[in-house]
Amino acid sequence: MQTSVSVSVEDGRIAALAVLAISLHILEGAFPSPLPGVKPGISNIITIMVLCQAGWGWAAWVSLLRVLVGSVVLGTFLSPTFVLSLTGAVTALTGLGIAVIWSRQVPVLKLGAVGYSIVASVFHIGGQILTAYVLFIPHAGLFKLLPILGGAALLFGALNGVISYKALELLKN
Amino acid sequence: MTAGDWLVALLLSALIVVASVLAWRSQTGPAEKVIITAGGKTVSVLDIHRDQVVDVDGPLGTSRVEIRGGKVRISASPCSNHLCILRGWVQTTGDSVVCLPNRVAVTVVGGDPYYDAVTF
Repeated sequence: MQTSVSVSVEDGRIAALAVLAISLHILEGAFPSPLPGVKPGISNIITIMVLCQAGWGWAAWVSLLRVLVGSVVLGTFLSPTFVLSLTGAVTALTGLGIAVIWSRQVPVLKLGAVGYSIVASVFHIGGQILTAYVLFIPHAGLFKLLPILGGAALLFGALNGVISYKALELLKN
Repeated sequence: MTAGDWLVALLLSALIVVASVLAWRSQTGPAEKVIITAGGKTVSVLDIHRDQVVDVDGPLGTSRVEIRGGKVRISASPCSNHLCILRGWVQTTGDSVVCLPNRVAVTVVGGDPYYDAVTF
């Protein structure tokens, strides 16, 4: 029996973008983290660029493919790390969805790459802390990490946003 | 950066600051009771606000537990190093005084109990 899957041009583009994100994800995995949970999340530069260029649907595809394939390559698939990664990505995409709707409804205060990136990173860490609390460490002390994790999310979110913005500028020229 | 970018940056910073302050406030409930265990079994549960002295028997002899002014300590013990006595007074929920040689433990409880850690 033979089954065939038709691959559209869009599928190919999404896959190519996901590969870029996965590469950054794996590259980042090679760097030591100062503290569990604190990571620059550089693969989200790709997610934000895709969001700004092609919309939320594409960004969701790229982000979720990155989590799935990244975990298989790094050997964390279905481990707690993977669960945290996935819930982080899902909450970040939820935040981005809200932000996109906001930008459409209130054009005066619409977000750019930097705003989207900050929203994504803060929602990401928020989702992860809640998941970690519910599933792995049901101790109120976990929330004492909030200033560190939240601060890092803001910082790296802004940084990734600026990189996305600059890269998008370069793409325009 | 657009005005919207600045807005979310400010709002989310404020959110994290508020959440952090809430998280760092003390979460232990007020101390209410003192649980005394000997050899792993609970031998008595006492009100921490009622001053009293209790003798607890262990394999080495008798340990004396003293409750006074909302605090508790082991004031006399047959063990050799007296670490339990040197621990002094404890009064915060979750605090404990333990005498391993005589297998006596005194724990302050109250409010909501919290886990120390959970591991998988």
